[in-house]
Amino acid sequence: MKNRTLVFIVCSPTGRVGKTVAARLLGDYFLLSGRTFVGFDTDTHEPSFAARFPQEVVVSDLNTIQGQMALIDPLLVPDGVPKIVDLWHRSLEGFFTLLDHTGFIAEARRLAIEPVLLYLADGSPRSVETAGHLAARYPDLQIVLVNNEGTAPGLEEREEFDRYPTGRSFKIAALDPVLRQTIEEPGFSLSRFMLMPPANMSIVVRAGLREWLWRVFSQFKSFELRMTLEETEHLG
Amino acid sequence: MVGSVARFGWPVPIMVGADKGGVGKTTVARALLDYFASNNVIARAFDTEHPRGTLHRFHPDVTEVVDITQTPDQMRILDTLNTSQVKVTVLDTRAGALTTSLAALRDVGFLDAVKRGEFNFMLFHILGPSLASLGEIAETAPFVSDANYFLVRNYVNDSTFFDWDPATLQTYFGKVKNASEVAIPKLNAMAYEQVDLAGTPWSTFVANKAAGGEPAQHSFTLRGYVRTWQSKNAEEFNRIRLLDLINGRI
Repeated sequence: MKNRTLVFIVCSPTGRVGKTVAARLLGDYFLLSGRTFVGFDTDTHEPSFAARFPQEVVVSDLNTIQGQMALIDPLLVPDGVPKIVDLWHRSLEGFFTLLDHTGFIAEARRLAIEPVLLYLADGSPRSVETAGHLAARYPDLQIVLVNNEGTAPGLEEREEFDRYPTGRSFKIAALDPVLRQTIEEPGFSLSRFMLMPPANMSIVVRAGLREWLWRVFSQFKSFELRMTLEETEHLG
Repeated sequence: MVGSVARFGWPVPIMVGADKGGVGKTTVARALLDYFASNNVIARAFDTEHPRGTLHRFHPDVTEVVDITQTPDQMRILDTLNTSQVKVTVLDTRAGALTTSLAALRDVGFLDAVKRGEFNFMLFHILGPSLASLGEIAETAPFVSDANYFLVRNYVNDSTFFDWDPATLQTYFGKVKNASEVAIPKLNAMAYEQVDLAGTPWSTFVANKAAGGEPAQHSFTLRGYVRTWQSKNAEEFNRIRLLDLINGRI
């Protein structure tokens, strides 16, 4: 069976909603499961995703044609290696215009490349509206909501949550400030932590972080399994 | 026009030209040849940029380089219009030679033959981004009263086309019957350059092939830009009902 190549596009029309955290979690999930990924950071001013993964992630400036080529061309390599795009909110519209201008979606389909939109929801009118537009513009595109309880607390209980156009969602639990401080330290790798926690780390921090990460990673795992299952159904 | 009844095999000479250089005549000729190829219309082309032949570089299979001011070459073009198996003939005129080429065609009696309905003559007049182009229209118009006359605004390499003042435009357009406008949209500069380097038809580049048909390694992003640009061109050619025109259905 030929594997689909997943292209995750982590996006939202607003900043500071946890896109980079979501991209980072996904990247570390692949590394932890013994795989690699190729990442792209379109925030040229503060490429924090690229800073986390200097080996895997490149910065691409969508304002230049070279930057566009450095993003779009590798996304269409059907090598089975997952791709993660941390889409800076200021390049959201430019990115989707670029997809339209290059006929990206059709080409991806042809190459068995599956783009998945990871949409960071914050419940703001702009966020709901943009998600609706994207769903209408790309009816075949898979959209998965990411509900970050750290940046959008209580969103699930609000009626805005039901106005988002999708059936699937990931939940990232709010992180205790102490744990948050730990993972925000430069050079702190989530996957390395899972494989081999630093010996000098507080057992409380260790347990809390492990718990938090497992809850996210198990959702990624079940998403992958579901995708595989659907693929199998298509074949049968 | 005489062609109110569909006429099978009615020869279609299409001249692409401008009196100003560097306005992208060859780009438009290439777009036309690609459009015809994708619609299964067999076309041949003459490149009058003698002896260099830019169009010939992109479409060597269908293009001959000729010197339109020389009698033997005029014969090669005009005398074969009727006998050639190929219905559509694209003439890419040399920079600055539109008026002289038209005069040459008039002098050999070609324009009279058009008037008699022997040929379904079309002119794609490429306008540059300046007012001088409007003067050209006035010079050209008398030659083409019996042709399908298209005024082409070519944005391919230039985003700063001057904005046409509607009133000024109207005074020029008023002088020309049967003129309609065609706009060739802008194409990303790097994409344009890469196709130029590849020296292939647009569609060959989009198909990621080299000139000889072997697989190439062109960027998908650039191919995507070219494909989008091509489909906009096709929309524009469909809008003026180019295929109906060459088949004499209009």
